[in-house]
Amino acid sequence: MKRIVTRTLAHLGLAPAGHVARLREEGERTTQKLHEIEQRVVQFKADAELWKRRQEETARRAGEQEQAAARATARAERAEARAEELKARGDALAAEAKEMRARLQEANRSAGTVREHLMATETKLDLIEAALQVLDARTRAAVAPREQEKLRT
Amino acid sequence: MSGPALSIVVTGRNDSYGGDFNERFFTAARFNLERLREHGVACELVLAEWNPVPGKPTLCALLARELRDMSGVAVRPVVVAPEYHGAMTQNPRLEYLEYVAKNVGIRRSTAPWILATNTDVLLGRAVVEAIAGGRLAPGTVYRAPRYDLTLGVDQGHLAWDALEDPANHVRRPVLRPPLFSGGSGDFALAHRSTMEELRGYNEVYRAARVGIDLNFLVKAYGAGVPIADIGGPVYHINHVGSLRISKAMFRDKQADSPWGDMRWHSRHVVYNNPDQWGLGAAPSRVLPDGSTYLDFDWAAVPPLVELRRVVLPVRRPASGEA
Repeated sequence: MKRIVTRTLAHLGLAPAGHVARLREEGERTTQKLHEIEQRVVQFKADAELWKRRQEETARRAGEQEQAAARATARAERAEARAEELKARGDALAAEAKEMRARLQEANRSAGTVREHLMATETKLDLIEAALQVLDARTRAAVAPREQEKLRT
Repeated sequence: MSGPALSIVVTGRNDSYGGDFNERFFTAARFNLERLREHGVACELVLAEWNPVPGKPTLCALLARELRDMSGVAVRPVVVAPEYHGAMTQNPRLEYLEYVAKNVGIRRSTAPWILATNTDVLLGRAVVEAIAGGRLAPGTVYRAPRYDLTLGVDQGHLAWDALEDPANHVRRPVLRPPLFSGGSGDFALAHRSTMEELRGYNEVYRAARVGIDLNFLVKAYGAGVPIADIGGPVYHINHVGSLRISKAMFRDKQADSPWGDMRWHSRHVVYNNPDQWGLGAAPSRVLPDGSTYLDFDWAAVPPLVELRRVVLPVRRPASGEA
């Protein structure tokens, strides 16, 4: 019976109220969903735009860093060349210092030898001076009694 | 084995040097001889009396009298005619050629081991034990630090316990290699062969007595003779007029000091004594008191100056100050 009524209303372009209400609700739900989907699409588009901008920014930065790395590599190569140059100069200076040290040691040895010989000479001079003083004293002692004898005569 | 194992060589004369010279000497002589005898060391005391004071008994005669009650003690007194001092001196301010006198004693000692020391030095416990222990190595010069006892210490009560008490010490030096110098004249012990190889102390430079003991060590070291610390101190009976106490008085007038000029190059210049070092050629006779008397003879006197005997020591790799 319900089906006959529903078919008859459908021929007249009508529908039962409950059916209409259900359809209306379904339509609202669908509209709501559609709205949500639209919003999500908008959000996705916005996100996509954001990621696109980020990717562009990252690409731009990567490009800058590549350039910086290239500059740093160039600087490192120049620094390495400079270090090699300085090392070579350092080696030369070390060799020169070693030679000077050897010459200084030799000079010190020679100075030490000279100093020792000087001290030996000073010691000998001490002895000569001492001997002269002793001989002088002996001579005076030897002469003095004869002087007194002369005075007595 | 007959004969002494150790000759203790000292020098002095009866001149009241430092006040109570004789008392210090006899105290030290008794102490040392008794300690060595207790440890079974047969020894002789060789006293070389240089430039004896005229008109006074010789120290040698007084020593014989002083030790006559000590049995088993050999004393070898040697008196050197006073003319030798006048003939050999290079400095009229020196009244005593201490190390030429010690050479006289060293040359006339008879034991295989010779200790050159001073009349006011007491041997420490470790020293006596080292000598008695028979562990000394020939070819080595042994040294001992000299601890000065407090001035005026009671000499009647000296025993090792008291000597070892730091409260009785004025100074306690530490000897350092390679020379172990410092008060060297108070203790130099070596085998006779070493003393003969080195020919005793410097007789070439006679213008000073200060530094001659250090000079002996420089010569020994340069000659390749090792020098070692025997392992214990000796003790010096301190007195007025000692070099250590009085040297400051002559700091600015070195040439006037009774020990000679301290600035002579004793650390750098050494000597080659002549064959007849220690008045080896001096004629001798025995006096009634048993002393040996060295008569004066110009033939025994070395030249006043022998420059060729002033030499430089052989330098060795430094392992310390030299």
